[in-house]
Amino acid sequence: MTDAKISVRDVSKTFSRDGKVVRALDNVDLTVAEGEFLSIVGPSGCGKSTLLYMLGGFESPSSGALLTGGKPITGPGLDRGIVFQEYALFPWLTVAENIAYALRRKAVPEKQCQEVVARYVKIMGLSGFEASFPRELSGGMKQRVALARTFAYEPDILLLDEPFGALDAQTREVMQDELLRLWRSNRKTVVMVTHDVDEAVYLSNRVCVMSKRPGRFVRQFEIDLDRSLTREQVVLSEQYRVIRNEVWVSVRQQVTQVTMEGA
Amino acid sequence: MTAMPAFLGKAASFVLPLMIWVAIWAALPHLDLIDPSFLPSPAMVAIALQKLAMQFSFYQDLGVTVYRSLAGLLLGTIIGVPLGAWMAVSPRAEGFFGPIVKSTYSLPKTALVPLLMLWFGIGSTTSILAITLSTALPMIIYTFHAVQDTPRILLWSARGMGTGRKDLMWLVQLPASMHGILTGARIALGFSFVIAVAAEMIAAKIGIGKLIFMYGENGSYDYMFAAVVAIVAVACLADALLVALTDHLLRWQGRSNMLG
Repeated sequence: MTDAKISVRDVSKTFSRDGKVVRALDNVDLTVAEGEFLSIVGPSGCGKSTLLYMLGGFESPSSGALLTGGKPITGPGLDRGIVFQEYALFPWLTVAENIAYALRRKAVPEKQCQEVVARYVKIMGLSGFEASFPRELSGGMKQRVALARTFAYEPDILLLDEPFGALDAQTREVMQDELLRLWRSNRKTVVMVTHDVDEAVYLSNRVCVMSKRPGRFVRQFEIDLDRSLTREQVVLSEQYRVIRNEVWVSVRQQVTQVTMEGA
Repeated sequence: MTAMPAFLGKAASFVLPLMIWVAIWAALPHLDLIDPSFLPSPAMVAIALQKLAMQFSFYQDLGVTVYRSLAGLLLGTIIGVPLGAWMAVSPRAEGFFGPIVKSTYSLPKTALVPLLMLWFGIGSTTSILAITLSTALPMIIYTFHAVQDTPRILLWSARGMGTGRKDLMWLVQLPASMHGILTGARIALGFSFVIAVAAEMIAAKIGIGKLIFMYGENGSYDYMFAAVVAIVAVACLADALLVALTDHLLRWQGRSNMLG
């Protein structure tokens, strides 16, 4: 027995597209410790999102096993919170109703519900927008709501699917720092899928690089940055530059393989 | 104060094109294209309408037609929305109801009126049933497609946040389908008035359709046109009310995409 929060054992995933069998993931193994922030980077279409959806319980593996806390994943559950790139807010609910959604499903008393909503509205800088509908918000604010509604019900594991991919560069940095601040305060286990090497290195304890399809883990990097430093200090440091370049080269090799074979 | 000119502008943009059509109508008999005895002038129709408006029985006819239309639409919606939603989530239900829905969709439902008349006689039951059938079909089809098109990501995120499969319909699929369902309702509303009037022409003792048919038989074309104008005005009003309801229900979507 291990104390792994998440373990992925020998997982493969195939699906058929236009009558052809496509192998998305090939014998993937992964262990994530409690409180770890792990990022998965790789070329687009390498199956990294598929892996995340399996962890979410939305898709099932063709072979192998996925476990959280030692128990097999059989479907979606409130122990895991997923944040999608497209935010996936309910457009007919207000900001406050979106944040309270999972709490209401859990039948949390209304008073407590309001308190949690008020807390996250404040933390996420959404004050004054409680009664707004998602379409009235900017992309950055929508993502704040998406994070808030996931944090609000306190899942043990956060699954982030390119959470900042749709944001402009400046907003993305602000949101990354907010995520980092929240993660430091509650130390949830995080698995994030991204194609942004800087984002992965800046946020994570560990970065796993996935190969082109069928996805396998080809390399992993332990990231040991001094978290007491500011963003400027981290990003401009030699330590960051070296590891970031190493990861970038590793991902780059996978990407160029794809394009050369595609040509 | 800025709302007032905007409202007037909207009203003007609605009324002005109509006035042009009325002018064309008024000019037609003078062009020797249509025999003036078969096409009463707008002025004659206005006078006929004025006279009808002073008769109590005219309001009875109008009221009966509106009652039949809306009762049929309501029943069609009550049947169509759950059935369409069920078909969208259950392949078995779709397999069973799909063929009958597809094969009867293009059938002119007025063809059923003589048959319904045999079973239910002349009167409201026959009309309402014909309207129910005619409105249930678009409601089924619009609801079916809207529910089926619910973005996967919304379903996933709802299930991830503890929504059971049974609650998914109420909490996610139906709200996400509101636009499609209300579009279906608007089309069904149009059908309901058409079928009401047509059914009354075939099988009714009162109603605007009966009135139009009777005036047509008697050659009172000015009255016939007046009755047509009256029911068109009522149908437009019903449509405007539905659009207002839609805008309210879909306020989270911003401006509705509905024409008008």
